[in-house]
Amino acid sequence: MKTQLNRRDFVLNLASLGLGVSVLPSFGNIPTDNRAEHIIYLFMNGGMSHLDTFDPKTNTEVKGIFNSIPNSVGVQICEHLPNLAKHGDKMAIVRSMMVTTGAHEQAQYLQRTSFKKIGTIVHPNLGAWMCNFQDRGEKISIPQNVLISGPADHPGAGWMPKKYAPIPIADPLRGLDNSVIKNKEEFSKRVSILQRLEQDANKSINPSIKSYSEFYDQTVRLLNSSELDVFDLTKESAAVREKYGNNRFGQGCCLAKRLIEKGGCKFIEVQDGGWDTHVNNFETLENKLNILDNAVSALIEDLQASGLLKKTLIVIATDFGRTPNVNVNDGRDHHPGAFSGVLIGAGIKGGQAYGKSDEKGMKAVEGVMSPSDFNATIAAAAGLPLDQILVSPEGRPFKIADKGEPVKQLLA
Amino acid sequence: MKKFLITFLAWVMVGKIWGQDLNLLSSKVDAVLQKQYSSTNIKPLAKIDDETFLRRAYLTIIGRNPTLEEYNSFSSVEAENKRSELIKFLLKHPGHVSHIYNFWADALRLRERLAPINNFNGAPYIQYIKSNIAANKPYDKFVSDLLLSQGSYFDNPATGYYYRDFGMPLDNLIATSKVFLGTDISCAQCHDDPFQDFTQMQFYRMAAVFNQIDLRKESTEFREAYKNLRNEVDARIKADPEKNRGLNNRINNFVRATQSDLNLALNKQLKLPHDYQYKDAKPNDVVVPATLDGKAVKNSNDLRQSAIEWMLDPSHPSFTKNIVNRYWGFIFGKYIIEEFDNIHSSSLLNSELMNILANIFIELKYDSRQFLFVLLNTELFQRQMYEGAYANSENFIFIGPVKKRLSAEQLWDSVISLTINRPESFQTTFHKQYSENMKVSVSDLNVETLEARLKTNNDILRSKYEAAKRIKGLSLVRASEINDLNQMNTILGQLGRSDRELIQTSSLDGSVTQVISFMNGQMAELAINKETQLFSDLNGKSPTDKIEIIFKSVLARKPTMQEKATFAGLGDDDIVWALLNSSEFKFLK
Repeated sequence: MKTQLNRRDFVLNLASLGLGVSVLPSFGNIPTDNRAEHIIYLFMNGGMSHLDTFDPKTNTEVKGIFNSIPNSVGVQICEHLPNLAKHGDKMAIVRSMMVTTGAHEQAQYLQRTSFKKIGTIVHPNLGAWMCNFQDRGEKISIPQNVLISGPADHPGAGWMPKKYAPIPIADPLRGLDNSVIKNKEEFSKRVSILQRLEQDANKSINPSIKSYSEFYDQTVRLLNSSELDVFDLTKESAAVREKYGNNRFGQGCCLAKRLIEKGGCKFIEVQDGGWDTHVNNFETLENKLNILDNAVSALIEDLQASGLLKKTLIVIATDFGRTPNVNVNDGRDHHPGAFSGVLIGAGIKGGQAYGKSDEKGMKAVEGVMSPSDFNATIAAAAGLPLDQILVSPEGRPFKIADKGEPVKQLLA
Repeated sequence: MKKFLITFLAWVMVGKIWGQDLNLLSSKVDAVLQKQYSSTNIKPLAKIDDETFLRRAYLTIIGRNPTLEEYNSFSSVEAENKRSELIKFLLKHPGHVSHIYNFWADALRLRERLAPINNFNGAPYIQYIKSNIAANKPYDKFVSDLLLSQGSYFDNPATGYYYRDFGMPLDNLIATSKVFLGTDISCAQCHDDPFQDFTQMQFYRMAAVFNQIDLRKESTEFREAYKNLRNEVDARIKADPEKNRGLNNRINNFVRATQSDLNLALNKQLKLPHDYQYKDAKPNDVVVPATLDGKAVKNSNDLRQSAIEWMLDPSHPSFTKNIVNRYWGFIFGKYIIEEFDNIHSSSLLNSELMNILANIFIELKYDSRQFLFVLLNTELFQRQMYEGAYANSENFIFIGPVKKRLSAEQLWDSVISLTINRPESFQTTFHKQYSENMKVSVSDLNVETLEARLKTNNDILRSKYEAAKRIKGLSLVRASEINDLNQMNTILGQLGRSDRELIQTSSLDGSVTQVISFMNGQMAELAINKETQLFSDLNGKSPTDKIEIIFKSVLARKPTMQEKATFAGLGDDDIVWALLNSSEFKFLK
């Protein structure tokens, strides 16, 4: 009897041939030695005001109360980012971002995944794509995709296997929850009893038991590992930690640095909340910009000192911008028409401001970029194959940045 | 223990409680499988012993391990038909409602934060589903009651089916088709589906059937009163902005949630999308309502009625087979048609096994509990588990149930059953009080009354686990009672429970955080704790008895001679820890 291939078998067969449908993956235009091997993705949750950060305006109707200063290459940024201003040469500011939604949930999802949020599938975040593409099948103890202070509805690995999902660090000061073994002797005794008990199970031919015991192996490796302290911020000197700022975001950035330096992690997202400044925009931002300025400049400086900035791309992303007109509560409201994003370090041509919003910051008018374009540029900077199609278990084909196009001028 | 034994014995003596001879139906299923074995020369796997059967039956029917007390009761019964009697007993156990609820919660995406845009609690809908399961409502009626639901959410929580996808009626339709018809029409939302027979036009015509649904009803009277309320709110904020911070949003969200009333807007028309690209119509054309098979629906007051008739007609190709396939997967660890939400195009749709199962379910008048009994009472359910890998469903023959990791809920509930003697003793009950409190009439539209209602809501929600026992801040309740974002839900998420964003996305994969939870985190803390039932059972027992008790409690079996030797001299904590982390505990045997 002739059996018919169903849709799932069809795509799985294709997938098994080479993980994807496209046969000629393109790796962007980045020379190998310049590619970002690590990405630190800083997400400003709530919608970061572009006018009060990286796209200051002189028009008095919209300017607000902050003044601007030139950064080291003469690009104007907000006066409350004086330390970041020193690193203008490593930094590409994108001033022409645009989305079509003014709702947080949808916009954040779009930023993180390049896809519109729909009810029938969850798309993976950039980190899951990166880990999936770079999976060499080796046994690792330190998880490669990490999410620090992330939200509960983070898309994670989406439709991809769970092993690519970010490991959540709820609080950078606590590190990896429950990873400290109080009684090492007792723990290793227990593990050895377990191993004796599991001798039969290890011989099991069952694929799910096998893959489950691999997680046990990885976890035991991790819990016993000397590397476990990559999650432990107290191992950083007080002076280093202080530079990043004594606050959750600053410490999250410090942990991100540590995870790259000591753990070799590929993708680390650090989220910072509180950017939804409908009320008292300026008062709130003065404080937030100070935090951002200290944390990110400390990150740049430390990574540069260790030589890792050559291999690490730092991204500042957000939901959308904020209204140029200041509202009655001295706040700014959601504004999807124009906003800014920042790319710093490996794979990026620094020392520039790319694209433009109009005189009042209402609309992106030159070099307009969607979140997918922004993500395509990030992916290109990391040398990830933009054209390679991966197929979800339902048989739907996807590319890392959907229809996004990388912007050449931003790439090194 | 006595109480359980009496109930159980009562069951054994009542014997045939259901009118039909269900045993005959189970043998029919076995006969189909037998034919497959003979024609392929493959031998079925051997039968399992009573202990293995006990744990498998408990986990499969009520979703958790048997407690020590339940283990002992079953062991003490000596009756030839004690296995089939145990099945019947467990099908009427409150734990069965919990377990089947988890099955539906995953498919219907049930949670307290029902839809992102809505500000009301999903608890009344959740409770509605649970009581439908408890009442064993015939499956066809269960589906049509959901799909035809009308009225206020707080009077008829079945409308929660539509409120779950508030503002996303097309996604709701895709869900209906996937969950109840095993047919994935999501591609056709945007373009003709090249792999299936559905066109975008068919999709939109079906969508037009459900397009009448209107989820907000506000009377003129209400609007008038609402205006006054707005003025009152504004005046208060003006008078004291500091004290009334957030008042506006709070009152607005609350009042809008209370006006959730599903009614039918008969004149509402659905238009094709602006980028419609096919020749049979123009973009933005009005769509004529029709069922997926292309038959225009009757012009009636509720177009949904015609769609339901089409779905429930015995000749519908996948309505019955969809649920039969899902139940089969639920019991035997693998679906007959692996692509369970898209059985529509499978070559197995009309296989002998699928046909006979569908006929049995129809013959039983969609009585789910009797149908599950038929499956559980087969020889197949009593065979050893198939452990190997399988490439595809087409050639797969069920020589035994398929080995599978316990679900997140089964893991949690099995650990809970180590901590307390009656894991089902706690049930959330706040839905009633909550629904009452949400019924707001026009005369209630003033700030004082509404603030009082809001406060009551907060109190109700805050105290929902108050009656439950706790260890280290975790409530010792079954997973079915945990439907909101809290610490227990976070743990369940680590174990692979779906966040209920999408249909059936729970996972049996491992993860590092999950294993840490068992080795050094909260799952270990729950099980190894002096306040648990297990440790009180161990109190004062001899070392050998202790090993027996721990094995029976955690794995529902006696230790082997070799295991007794291995574990002799070890601490209770260490033994519990090792068994809890064993793959025998994590997987069905």
